[in-house]
Amino acid sequence: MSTITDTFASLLTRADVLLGWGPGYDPLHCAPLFARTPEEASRIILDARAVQSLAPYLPSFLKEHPDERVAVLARPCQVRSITALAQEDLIDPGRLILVLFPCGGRLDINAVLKACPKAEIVETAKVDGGRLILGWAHEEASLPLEGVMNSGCARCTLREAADLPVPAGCEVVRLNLPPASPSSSAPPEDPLKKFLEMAPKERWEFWKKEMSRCIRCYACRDACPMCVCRDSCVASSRNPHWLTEKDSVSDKLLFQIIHALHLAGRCSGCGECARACPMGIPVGLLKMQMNAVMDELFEYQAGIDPAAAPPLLAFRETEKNIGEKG
Amino acid sequence: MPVLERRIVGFLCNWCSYGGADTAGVSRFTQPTDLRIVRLPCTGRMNPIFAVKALLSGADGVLVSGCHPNDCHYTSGNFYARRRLETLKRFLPVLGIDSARFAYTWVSAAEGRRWQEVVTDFTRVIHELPPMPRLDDDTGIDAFLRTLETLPHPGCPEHAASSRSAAPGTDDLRNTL
Repeated sequence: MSTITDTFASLLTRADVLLGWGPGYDPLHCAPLFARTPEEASRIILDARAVQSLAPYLPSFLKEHPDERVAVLARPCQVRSITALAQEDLIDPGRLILVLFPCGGRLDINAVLKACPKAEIVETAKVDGGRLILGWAHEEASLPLEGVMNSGCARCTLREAADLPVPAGCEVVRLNLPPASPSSSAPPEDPLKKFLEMAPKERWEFWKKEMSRCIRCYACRDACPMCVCRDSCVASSRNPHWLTEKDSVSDKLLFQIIHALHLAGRCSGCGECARACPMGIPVGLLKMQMNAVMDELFEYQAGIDPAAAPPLLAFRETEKNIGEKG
Repeated sequence: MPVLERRIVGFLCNWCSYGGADTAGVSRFTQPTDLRIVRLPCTGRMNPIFAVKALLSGADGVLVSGCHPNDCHYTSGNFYARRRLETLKRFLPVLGIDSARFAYTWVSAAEGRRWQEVVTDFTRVIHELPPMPRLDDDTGIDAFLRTLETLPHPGCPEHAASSRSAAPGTDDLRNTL
């Protein structure tokens, strides 16, 4: 029986680089790993600690390495991002090998640190039988994964991704791993629904307060698989000068609104923007609202159908769910 | 008692609504004076950021008006705009902004009377709402309108491929058929 390591080695005979997750700065964190040899690939980590989406690396990597084939490990939400990128011709799926594996969900590192503050200085970490086991020199702590899971993952219905269509021309390899155990607890409440129960005035005040904490690091943008503009981003444009350099709520809020509007019909809801935020601002709510609008107006979910035209790049003479307003 | 003005920004298509507003003016139809008009080449040029920036800069309402569906000077600009503008309208509530502050409509150059109705109705709606809450540090609506006057042609080199594939005759055709 071939092991995962053998599979990675054979993938590297067909691809120049295998993009996965490797050890990060401590045992709890992973970092993206660009493996070019089987030895490097043997360091790949494939459990709940592998939280980053690797899709954001693809457009620029494929552009900068025009002759290389890339094998990329992808969770279902990340496959959706990759499909959405291919739908807009931002990546060439013919140069991709998608490596799929049963996704058991991703950790919420902040939740881990909250449940176990000592995790800051953890010495060993592993995921075993639905529990996260953290170790120090003389003690061990075991946390149930369900309590420290990314809330988006806890609500996700795509874990197996067996039937998720992939872009045409893209090769698919499935890793021979046992299926992820389904979550036994009830999925948490939809945060958008809860948020919209607040009065409009409260929502406005909420964003004013949250945005005042924003440090304008643009981690949300850099972690977003669909933010491909890089140096051409509207946030750094001087002419027109949409955003000033001031530390002002209006600039920060305007950027978040722009980000959500630019994701209309493109966002797979991977939640990377909220995960990447060092200030813990729930910017994912804006994208959830945008996805809800796309579903309501165009019955469209990004990255599910590789052949579909993204809704804002197309139109119908008579829209099903929009009146003529005439 | 003096009637307090609100600030409404209107984005009007050059080929129809701008003419319609002119018709209304030439015909001396009385209109509320809260509206400041920005002329666009087509509602397809209407970037939702114009509306959002206007609102965050303190505008109490934003009105977009273009050619009736199927009457676009460029064939399909208002069809793309309709999707975009409706998306923006339904997105606003999550920010705590009343979606009634944003409206879009279609008025032709001949419909001076209709333009009068549109402006009067929208202004009434805006007057029924409280003033747009100001962000303490906004740059102000006048500065925003000056920004618009010097707006260069938009474009992002990273998206060059996708905008090509979205050219009329490909995607839109696939979707209309």
